[in-house]
Amino acid sequence: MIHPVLPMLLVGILFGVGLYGVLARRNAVLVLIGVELMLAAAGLLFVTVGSLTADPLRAGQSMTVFIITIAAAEIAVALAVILAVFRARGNIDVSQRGSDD
Amino acid sequence: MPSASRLDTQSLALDLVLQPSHLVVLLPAAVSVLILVLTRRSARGAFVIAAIGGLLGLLAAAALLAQQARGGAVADPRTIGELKVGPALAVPLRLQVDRLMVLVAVAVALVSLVVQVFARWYLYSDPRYRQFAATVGLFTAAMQLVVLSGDVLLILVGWELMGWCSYLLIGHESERAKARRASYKAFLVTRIADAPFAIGLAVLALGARSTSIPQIVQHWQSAAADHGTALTAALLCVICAVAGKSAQVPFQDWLPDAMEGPTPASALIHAATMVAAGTVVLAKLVALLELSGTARVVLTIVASVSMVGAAVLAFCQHDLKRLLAWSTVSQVGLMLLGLAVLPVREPADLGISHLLSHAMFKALLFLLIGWLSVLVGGTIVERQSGALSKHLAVRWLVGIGLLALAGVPPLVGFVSKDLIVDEAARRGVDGDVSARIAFVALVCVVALTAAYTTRMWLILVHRTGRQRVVVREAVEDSYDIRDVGIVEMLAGSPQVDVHGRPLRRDEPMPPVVDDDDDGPLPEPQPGAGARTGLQLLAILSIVGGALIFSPMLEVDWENANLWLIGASLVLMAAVALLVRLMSIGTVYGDAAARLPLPLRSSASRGFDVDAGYVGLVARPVVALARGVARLEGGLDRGVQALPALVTRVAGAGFRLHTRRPTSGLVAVALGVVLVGLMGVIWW
Amino acid sequence: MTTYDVLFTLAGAISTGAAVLAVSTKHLVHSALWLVVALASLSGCYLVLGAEFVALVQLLVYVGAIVVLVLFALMLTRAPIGRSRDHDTPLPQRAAALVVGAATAALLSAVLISAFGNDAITVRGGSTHVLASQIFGTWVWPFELLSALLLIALVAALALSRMPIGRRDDSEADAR
Repeated sequence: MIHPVLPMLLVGILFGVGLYGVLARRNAVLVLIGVELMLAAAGLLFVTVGSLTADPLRAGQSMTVFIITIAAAEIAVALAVILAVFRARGNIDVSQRGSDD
Repeated sequence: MPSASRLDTQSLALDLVLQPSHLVVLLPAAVSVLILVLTRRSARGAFVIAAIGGLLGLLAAAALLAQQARGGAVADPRTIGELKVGPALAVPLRLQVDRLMVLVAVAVALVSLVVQVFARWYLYSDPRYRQFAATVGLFTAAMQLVVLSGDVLLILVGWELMGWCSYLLIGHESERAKARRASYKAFLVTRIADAPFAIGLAVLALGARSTSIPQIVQHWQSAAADHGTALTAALLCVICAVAGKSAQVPFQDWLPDAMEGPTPASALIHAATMVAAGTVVLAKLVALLELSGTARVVLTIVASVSMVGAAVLAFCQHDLKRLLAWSTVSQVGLMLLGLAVLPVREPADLGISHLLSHAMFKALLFLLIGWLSVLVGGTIVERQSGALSKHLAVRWLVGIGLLALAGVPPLVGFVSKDLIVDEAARRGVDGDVSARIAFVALVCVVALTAAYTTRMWLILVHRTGRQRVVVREAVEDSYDIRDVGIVEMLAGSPQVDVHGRPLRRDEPMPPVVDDDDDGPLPEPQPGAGARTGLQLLAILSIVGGALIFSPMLEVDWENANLWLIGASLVLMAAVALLVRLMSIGTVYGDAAARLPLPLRSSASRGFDVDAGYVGLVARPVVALARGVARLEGGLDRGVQALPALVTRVAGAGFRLHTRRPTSGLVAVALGVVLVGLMGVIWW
Repeated sequence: MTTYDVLFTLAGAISTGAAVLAVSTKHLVHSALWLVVALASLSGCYLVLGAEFVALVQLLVYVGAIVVLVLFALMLTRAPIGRSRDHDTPLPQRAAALVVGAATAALLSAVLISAFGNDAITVRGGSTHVLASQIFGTWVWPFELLSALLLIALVAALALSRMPIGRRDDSEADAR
């Protein structure tokens, strides 16, 4: 027996903290960490809802697995992009002005 | 030349496209065109064209008169064909030939010819004589167009053309600031008064669905009962324009200032034609005037006030030419009264007959005052005083003109004026309000006219003590100002030439023309042609009154009130005697010298109406213009500030945009949260 | 308050605290390591919720792979070691981010809680067998699609890392 309030609260907090991380960080990798937290919140929501409802297809857990997979792909591509930006600009500061060209 | 088969010898009718009425209008216009095209510098060539054209114009007018008398004139000759503007309005653009207008046309042609011939002498040394002659030609054509027009559109064309030509003629000596101001003033004042003219004529024409005058008269005579207000409004508009063109109250003040123009122009514009154009137009519409009591009363009051006021001003003028100008205002008021007190359902014979007689004697007087101004070097009282007693050649002509102006029987002025007085008295007895007003004003004017003509005559024939000596010494053969006999009064003032410009003592006077070439004359005098013209005008001033006996004018002269005539003659004689008594002992024989000086100086400025014009019209208009300019400037600045404002806003937005991804992201996230919040709240 | 609730609260609290530290620490590497803690405790939450397979995948993929990749990224971009204030945006923006984050958390929690209520519900966990048969039965096509996605991401990452961009390539071009 579990009260759904707790996981839901955790979902909200994790998402908010992730959003704060995305907005408040300058380093692109740290921004990526915020994104990971938000993704984790989404996965938690899927699992929670899947556990709370009688779902013979196990859609909640399946989706979480998929999300984790997608997150792996995302982080790989993001890493490549960050490295490319670093090569081009010399830093990965997302709060720095872009150049007009 | 018309072939014999096309000329009906009985009625003198011509079976041609080109009628004499066309020639009357076209010949003066051709004069101006030919002068400007053919002559380059030759004043003589210009004069030849002007004289021949004027003569031909007079002959055409005379032919038209003969045709009219024999019944062969075409009543409505075509001009350039009908103007097709759709079914709502017919614009036939036809002329209208009737007996009154033919007479006016003859008078205009005659005065124009005399003026052209006289101007050749008067403006001999003027380098811009060509332009003057051309303008006079164009002006005559415009006047003839108004006179013979049977279409309000043609009237409007001639009317505006006259306004423009009068501007040119008044400002002929454009190097003088006074002349420029006078021409601007005349133009603006008549322009303002003309604005309602177009409206009034448009109302009349649209009501009748035609611009043809006979149709307009016919339509409104039947429609007056239903649309009386519209008719009254239209007529008031027309009367306003007539008051402007004829220098009636409250537009009167441009005419005396227009005396800045050369004297021949004054004789043409301000005696025979332009100021009388209002009378002509009203005479064409007089049948409508009878239908609108309000318009008639307004016309009566305007004419009466102008007539009496102008006569008073004429008596007080210090400049004899301005005296004549004010007397013109007064006499035109008399003509308009002649239209206002017309017998019911009668043509405008009374007003037109006075127009004709006034054209004769006033043109004569204006030309003579021009002649005298050449002789004595100015038109102010000091210079003119005693002019006639030295220059006897002018004396009889001036005498005839002044007698005609005063209305002494049997001269032409008496006849036409007395007919109007007679009619006013008759209708006043019948109980007509406007006729009663008119009669009172007429009695005043009869007395005042006698007063100012007597005053002018006394000034002109005055002899000072010094002059008697000069006469005794028989040295009156010089036009030099030193010998005029009033030198003791003028020792300090500069000598001026005919244009009023200061003249150096050692500079020779302008060359004197003598077309006869019969040797040097003791004093300058116009050529033989001009003198003949003046004599012709004088003769017409004497015997022209006989015209009322002819079938051309239908006036009721047989039932004249002899008692009334006698009373007016006694009144005139008494006034003349009074003026004679007042003039005794004055320096220049000027009866007005007995009047208080402030009154005279104020009257010389037309009772400062000019200041009223400036204060009531010019200043507000200028202030309005300035306000509009300021508003426009403000708008302009506002419009120019708008892009700057947008640029500033854009700049602020640009500065606000840090071009940093994270700050933008914050804003986007905030927006998303807000949208989500709204969705949750309002769901 | 059931046992589940207690366990979940413990794991959730650790996760929350670690997440907060991960987004607020001044050390770059610490940030990545706090992320490990947060995600690991989140897998504990999954266990409490009866999703043991997901919890294991979370540990393997996230903690084992993704965090290692993040650490690689930090190192490859020459991240400074030690405390630094350069990782955070200016204070006003952080304050705004805090507001936005808090508002989001509150909004999301409120919506979810109001949607699911607070009735105690039996957790139906276990049965990895059922999940396996479902993934390779019902969800097999999305699963295969995901494998293709992973392949594409691999190729894309390779292509991006070999892309001729940046000053170094320009200077090489100049040198030639």
